[in-house]
Amino acid sequence: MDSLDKDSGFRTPAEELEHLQNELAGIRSLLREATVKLAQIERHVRRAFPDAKPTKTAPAGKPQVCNAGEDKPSLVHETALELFETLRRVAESEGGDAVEKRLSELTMADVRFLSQELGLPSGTKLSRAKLNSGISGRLNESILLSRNINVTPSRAEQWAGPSSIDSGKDAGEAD
Amino acid sequence: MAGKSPKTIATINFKGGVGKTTVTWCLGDVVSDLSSNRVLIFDLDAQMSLTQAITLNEDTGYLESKFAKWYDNSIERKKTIFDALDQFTKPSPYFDFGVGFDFIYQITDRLHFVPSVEDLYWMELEVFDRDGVKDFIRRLLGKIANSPKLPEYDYVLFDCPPSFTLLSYSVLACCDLILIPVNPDFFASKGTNLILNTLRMRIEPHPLPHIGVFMNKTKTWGGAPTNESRFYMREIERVCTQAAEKQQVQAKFFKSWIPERVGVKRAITSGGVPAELVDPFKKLWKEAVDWIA
Repeated sequence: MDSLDKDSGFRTPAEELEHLQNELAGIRSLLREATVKLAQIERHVRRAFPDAKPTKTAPAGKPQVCNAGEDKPSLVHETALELFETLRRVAESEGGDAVEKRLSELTMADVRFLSQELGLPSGTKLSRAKLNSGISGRLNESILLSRNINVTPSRAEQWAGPSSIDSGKDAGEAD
Repeated sequence: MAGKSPKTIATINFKGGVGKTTVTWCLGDVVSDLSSNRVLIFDLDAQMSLTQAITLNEDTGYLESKFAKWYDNSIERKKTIFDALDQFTKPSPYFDFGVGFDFIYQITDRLHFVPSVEDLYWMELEVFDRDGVKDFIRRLLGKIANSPKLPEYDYVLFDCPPSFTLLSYSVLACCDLILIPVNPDFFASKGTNLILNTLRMRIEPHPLPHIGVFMNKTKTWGGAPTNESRFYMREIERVCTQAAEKQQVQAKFFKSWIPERVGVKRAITSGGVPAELVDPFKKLWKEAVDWIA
């Protein structure tokens, strides 16, 4: 946090402490104002030094997936993402059937691992068909998120002329 | 006031519910409270979420009387953002609208606020000179920067509505950074593509500002984003990279992310940004400011 504070212009913990001491000195003058101010400062301290008090932390690590009775996956995080990129290209160029074929060539452990890496349910009770369906869904989402269809030409294109726009319908209407 | 131009950051996403208002508020709160920067926040959404949140005080359950009185006075004296726009669109050679603390509310010493009004709902119907509106925010900021009654702001943050209104047009035509919060789900992510790929043609001939996209409401496990959140982070980063290549937009997917916390919704109405979210917002701010430096 120190390096972040120095780089970003936020006060350092030492400056923060000095700031708070100044605030505390000021509130002695008026009791009513001090009560309000003190509450503000307490809040400020909690925010400026979030690590100062013990906080409940969730158990570290990723959720364990029971792979009992299965081989270990050959994929790791990086290769799983590479495989997803490959499947994405296959989905775009060859369609869903080709993706299904590629997925059927993977071991069950690898399909389960890929599902897990994509944030899909990957419990041992899930069938291969359901896992494949989830992965296909993620592929579809990925493709749709990047797809963009503009029917309106930009102003620059409008100024450049109508050559890039299909004028067949317009011609028909003009007749 | 020296008339230094503040850096301007607009939070926008055409999808509702992604956390635009909360993010705008939390950034303003953290930066003004934990640094020496002075921040001005505009609520440009006719739904008035930010304005209402500041009005409400959950600690007492009553309306915060100081702001409520100031707001009534502001409406009565025709010193709202709507009145400023109304004055700007009148056929006059001058933009005759004085800006002072009857137009800007002081939440704290370094956090100031321009509230919204419901009239903005109907603005689209009443304004005929749409092209004339595009310079409104630029001219208004110029007035604020040159007003002797007002302090020098380091940053101006805009909470934009979840649609492309005349006011958002005016903001996007002059801001330094468009900040787009997204969420780890398909529908909240889809809007990024729409904005990145179509904004240029809507803003032309104005130059497109820098665009920063980041994951808000990130689902976590053990303090790190879940695999599902990571999936959407990778996909949105892909969208940003593609848009940067194809559309020549200065779009970047930020590494900073804000975790999902139920308590953050109460940040505006009571207590400010929760302690555990201060550091994520500081990191997000640093990345945003570095991007437009």
